[in-house]
Amino acid sequence: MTTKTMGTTTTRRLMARRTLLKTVGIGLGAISLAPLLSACGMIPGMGGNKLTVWTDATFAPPSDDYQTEEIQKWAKSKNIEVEVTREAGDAVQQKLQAATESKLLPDISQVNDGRYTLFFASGIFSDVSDLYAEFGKAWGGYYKPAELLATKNGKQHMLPYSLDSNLLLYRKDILDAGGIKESPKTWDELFDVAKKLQTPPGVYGVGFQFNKAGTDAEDTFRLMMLSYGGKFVNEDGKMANIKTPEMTAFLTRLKSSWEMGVYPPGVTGWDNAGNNTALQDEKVIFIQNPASPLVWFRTNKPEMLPKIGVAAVPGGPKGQFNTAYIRDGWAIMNTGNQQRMDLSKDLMRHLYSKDVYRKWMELAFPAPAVTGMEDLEIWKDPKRQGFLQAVKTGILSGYPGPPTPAYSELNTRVPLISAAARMAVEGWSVEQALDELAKTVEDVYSKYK
Amino acid sequence: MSVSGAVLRRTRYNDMTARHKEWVLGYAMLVPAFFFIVGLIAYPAAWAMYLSFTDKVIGQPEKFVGFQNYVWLTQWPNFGGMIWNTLLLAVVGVALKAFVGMTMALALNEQFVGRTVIRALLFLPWTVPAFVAGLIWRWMYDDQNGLFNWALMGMGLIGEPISWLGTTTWAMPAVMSVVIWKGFPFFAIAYLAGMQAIPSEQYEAAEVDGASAWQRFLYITLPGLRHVMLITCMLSLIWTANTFDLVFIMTRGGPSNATEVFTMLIYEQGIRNGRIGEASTAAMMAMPVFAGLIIILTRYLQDKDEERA
Amino acid sequence: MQGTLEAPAHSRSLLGSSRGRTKRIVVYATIIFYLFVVLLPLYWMVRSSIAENDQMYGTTIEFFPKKFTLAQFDAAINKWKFGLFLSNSVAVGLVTTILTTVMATLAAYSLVRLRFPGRAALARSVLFVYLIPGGLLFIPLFMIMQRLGLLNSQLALVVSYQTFAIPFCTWMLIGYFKGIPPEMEEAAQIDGASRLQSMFLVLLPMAAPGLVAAAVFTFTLAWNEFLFALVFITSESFRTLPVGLAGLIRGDIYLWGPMMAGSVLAAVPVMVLYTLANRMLVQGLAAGAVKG
Repeated sequence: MTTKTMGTTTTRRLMARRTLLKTVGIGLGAISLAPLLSACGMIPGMGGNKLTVWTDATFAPPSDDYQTEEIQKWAKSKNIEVEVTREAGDAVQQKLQAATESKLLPDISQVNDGRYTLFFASGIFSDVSDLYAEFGKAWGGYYKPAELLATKNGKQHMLPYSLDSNLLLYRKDILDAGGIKESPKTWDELFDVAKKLQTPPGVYGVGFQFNKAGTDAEDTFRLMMLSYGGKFVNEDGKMANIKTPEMTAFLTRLKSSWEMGVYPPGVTGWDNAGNNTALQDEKVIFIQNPASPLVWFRTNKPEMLPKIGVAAVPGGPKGQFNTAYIRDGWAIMNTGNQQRMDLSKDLMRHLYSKDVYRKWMELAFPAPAVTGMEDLEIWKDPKRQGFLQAVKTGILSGYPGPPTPAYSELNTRVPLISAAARMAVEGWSVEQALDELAKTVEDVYSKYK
Repeated sequence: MSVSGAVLRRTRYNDMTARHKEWVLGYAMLVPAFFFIVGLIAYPAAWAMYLSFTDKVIGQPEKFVGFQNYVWLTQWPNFGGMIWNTLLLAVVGVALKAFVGMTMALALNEQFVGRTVIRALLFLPWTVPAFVAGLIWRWMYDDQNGLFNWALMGMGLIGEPISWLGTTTWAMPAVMSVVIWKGFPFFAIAYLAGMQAIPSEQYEAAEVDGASAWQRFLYITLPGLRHVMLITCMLSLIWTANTFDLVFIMTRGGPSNATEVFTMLIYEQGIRNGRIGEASTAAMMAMPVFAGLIIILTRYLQDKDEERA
Repeated sequence: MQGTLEAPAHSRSLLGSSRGRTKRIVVYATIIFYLFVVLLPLYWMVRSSIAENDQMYGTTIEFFPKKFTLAQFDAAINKWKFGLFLSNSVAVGLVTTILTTVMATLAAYSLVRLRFPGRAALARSVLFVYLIPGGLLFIPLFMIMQRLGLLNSQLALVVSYQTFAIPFCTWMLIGYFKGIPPEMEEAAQIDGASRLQSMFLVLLPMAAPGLVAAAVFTFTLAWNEFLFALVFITSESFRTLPVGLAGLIRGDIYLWGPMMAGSVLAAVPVMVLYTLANRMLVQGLAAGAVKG
């Protein structure tokens, strides 16, 4: 190469230059594609003159569709554009995280009590106490759980829309055939009836998830724990003594239920849909769940509906408890733009208006947050009535203390399911499980001193 | 100045800048790629590293806490088990994926009827989104309703349904089987493409010399695919260790921690609790391992090259 | 040696030209076994996509459904807007792949064929992108997208996908380029071609199978990406397939029928792409023969 003559070197330089020009030309061509792409919507144009609403996809699609329809109707009447996005699962939470950190909030977001507790301290929810009072007056007030959850320091930063509970859903027909007239009132009764009436491997007695993915069961076991007198926190919300005889009694009952063989072996692998599917496929007698299987049956197997019973969760020696949590709630975000926030408030008025709210409630299947709907036809159905009664007297997350971020975090660790799984899958003793349980609670609460 | 002197000087000039020209060209060709990478990753990486030393919760100002998160992480109940599970899934998963991929590529390299169609079909698992694959397989593994139990019981091989995803013995193999099912087409297609670049003269010459099929594989195919194999395994190790979707949708770390991998921790702390300080710590702890892996494997690649040169 | 590239090497069996019956049996047995393993879950996916609702939730397993229906596809496309999601995914996938492949080709060539200080370290550093898991990456990336004004646009995805696509594509190409001996390019350079020309005219045609493989993989990665597509895009009109599919999980109820139909729809474009790529590949090699 070093013996090149001048001529060839020049040619090489020319060719290299040509190649360079070619490459640059291609690059420029690509850049000029930009306007083309933008025309196809690849690059964002103007935006931001639409009201954005982030909401959840519930287990009752007809109610979701109705809600979106109503929101769009309102938008048309006001001559503005609204964008409603519906996501499932944790999606709204993830989006909110990104939105919070970057301070790019939507106008309205759905909040359930978990999300409310999680994001409250970040200040993204605006004060809506005035709206809260307005709707309270129009609808005769709120049920206690809704009021307790939404109110912090005397103000409300979210508007409760619906409350829900996890109840015992069971095969009434199997119980009838076995001569049992009423649903079991205590845990002991429940397990005995299950053992008596189950016909494995086709039909098992009880479908509680023993897997971390099945967060329904964390609620079930919590209610069981409370009914035996066990607790994680005291009334002031601070950590209680975990290693008490009551907790031991509770864990012993849980362990012995596993040893009775009333659970299908697959419960150690179930997620939140596992117990639904088991009931829907007629493979189990008792599950604990919100009303989603009822919706499913209505769409897919209506002949099964009369065979399903809904009852309160069984009690234990120290009492009987039902949960109540806010399933749908609305928050107007602190975007700082007064005009948008006022518009959002107006949308809320539309959603809480007499016809819209009532119609939605009929389609959606939880219980309302307001007391003024007890005259609806739907409550004549004992199944739906069951949910209504449960939420009135239900306990909140964090019981016997108030809802706190510490308790929320503890809940996501599903400590009771972990303990149950340790005993069931790995054969741990009650003492070992209790030890780990105590450690987990301490671990979480130590961060919140 | 004589003509020859001018020519000589210009030639030396060309010599010097020839090497530098190569430098310039080399760096220039890297600019587009690095522009994106550095621009998009530098800030997030630094931010994540910083966060691991704070107690940041989403939406709230953070406080510097030093190594507290790292200590906390090592005291996580299943820390050792989590690491073991991640390693197991990654190492065994990749090894099996590579093996299946290689055998498949060898078979697909042959001539037979319908080869193009079958090649396309065998690529399918990689195209299915992870959570859909997880859902379908989970149903197949279901203890009461699943396809496998139905088939096995129907054939009389087992008396009772096996709870595949519910026992600690079977859960990890079940998850791993889906990871392999989903991942092997990557290896198969990569190896297939690599095989096609090996000149057929080498094979012909070897056959003439009397080499057996196995010897041809060992001494021609494997060395020819050496680089591709190393790189696919390295990439796949990193990806498999970072598996989240599949494990989440199938077992969420259960039953009782049998399939808990460290991405579950990041999800739980970061996304569900908003405690991204702690979530970053988990990622930071994994970083040296991956970095070490990358450095060792890439160094191996470089060395081999120097040998050949 | 004539210097001509023969007909594609894949048409010559690597396992030898012996007509052994054992060889054919082994090959066929392997193919059939793998086909079965691969297709079983996919068969189930397809079967569920054309089955009636009650067939899907039956208490017993019916391998071959008695009734067929297109209702699930109809629901997926019309009610759940999968046609829209499909076109969005295709757009994002194509642009991402083109952008990535170009940049990765340049980078890989540089790292393999050129010598300059820091080459090894730079090659390695490309991979360090993978040290940050997506679950942590999405928040700062969201902020970057916001600052660039790209939020809620497909370009946000194209740009953010470069984070995992470039390292992958670059290293795949490094692997393929390294496997090709540099003698051919050096010969071309002696004959007067510049480096870039030797890359375009000699190396790339020879590395075509690898290029196509890398491009198809990159497309698939972009196709299946979920988290960024979820967080960066808020309008339904730009939503991609994975996010659309996930939206069919409503709490603890899975809308199985439309989900399976949607998944089948999601698999089709990639298959088409792969088949096209395969065909292009065969032609490309035959056309790219370098004359001696």
